[in-house]
Amino acid sequence: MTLRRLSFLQWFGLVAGAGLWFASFLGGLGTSQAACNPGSGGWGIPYDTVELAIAAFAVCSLLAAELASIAVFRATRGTEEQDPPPHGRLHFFASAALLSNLLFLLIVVLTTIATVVDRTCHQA
Amino acid sequence: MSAADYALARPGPSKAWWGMAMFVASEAALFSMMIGSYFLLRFKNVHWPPHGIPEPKLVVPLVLLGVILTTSAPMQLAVAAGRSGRLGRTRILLVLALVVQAGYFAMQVHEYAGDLSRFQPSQHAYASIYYTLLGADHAHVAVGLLFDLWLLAKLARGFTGYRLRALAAIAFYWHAVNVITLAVTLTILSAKL
Repeated sequence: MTLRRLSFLQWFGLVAGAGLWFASFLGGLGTSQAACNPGSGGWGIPYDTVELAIAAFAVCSLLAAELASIAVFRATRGTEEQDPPPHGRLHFFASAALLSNLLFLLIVVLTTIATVVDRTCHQA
Repeated sequence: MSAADYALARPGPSKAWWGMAMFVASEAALFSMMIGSYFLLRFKNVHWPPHGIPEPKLVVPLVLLGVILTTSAPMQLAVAAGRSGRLGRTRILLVLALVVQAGYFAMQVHEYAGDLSRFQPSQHAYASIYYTLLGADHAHVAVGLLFDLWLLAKLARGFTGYRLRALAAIAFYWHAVNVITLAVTLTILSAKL
């Protein structure tokens, strides 16, 4: 694999998790605001369906980010984190992304379960 | 390759471009918050816009949006001309972009003043967020015009590495302003839905 492609996969694996979690959080928050407020409550927004669609997109993309991190980690496995860039940087960030993507995946899945199972539009 | 060698040989955009990218990221966060505020207010109000405030116009903002979006082309072509060392072509493309952007800005200021004569920012939350969003967007266009004028003044004395990097950074700024204008215009026009 070329260095350019490895770099792309490394950065995708590193930042996609946080970005997707934040985007899915904002999307869910916006949907709940739209579904539960008087100005837009009559639009008939299918809250659970939208939440599940957002979560499905986020989970698929997070799995892709995890696969990208695994690919970079394997391609640089002969390298130490302290080695000079670009290979040291690639290996270090791929290691970090391997763990962080799993954490973001868990956050997205658990949040989605909670929001879908819980009743919509009531005071917590 | 050592870390120092890598840093020296590192390919990719200049520090000016990265500085502009950081600035654009902060501006994107600012506009995201304002657009989020717009929709939060919109969800809480049954009548949007409220009684007594006219609905936003549809045709003129869409035409103006189309006009400003086209200016990304001459800006990017100017960057390409600059990289190939064609000073005259770079200046012409920049002047062309500047003329269109200035025309857009003049029309938008005219529309903004017309709106102010019909309803005041203090009248309702809708009016407040309407003027805040549009005002912030127009201010960014005004800053872009100043960037263009400054760059043209610099390019009157020819190319330097510094000026070429400034050209790339300013073109990037205009692409960002155009995307912001697209988001702001569609947000404002969503009141007609």
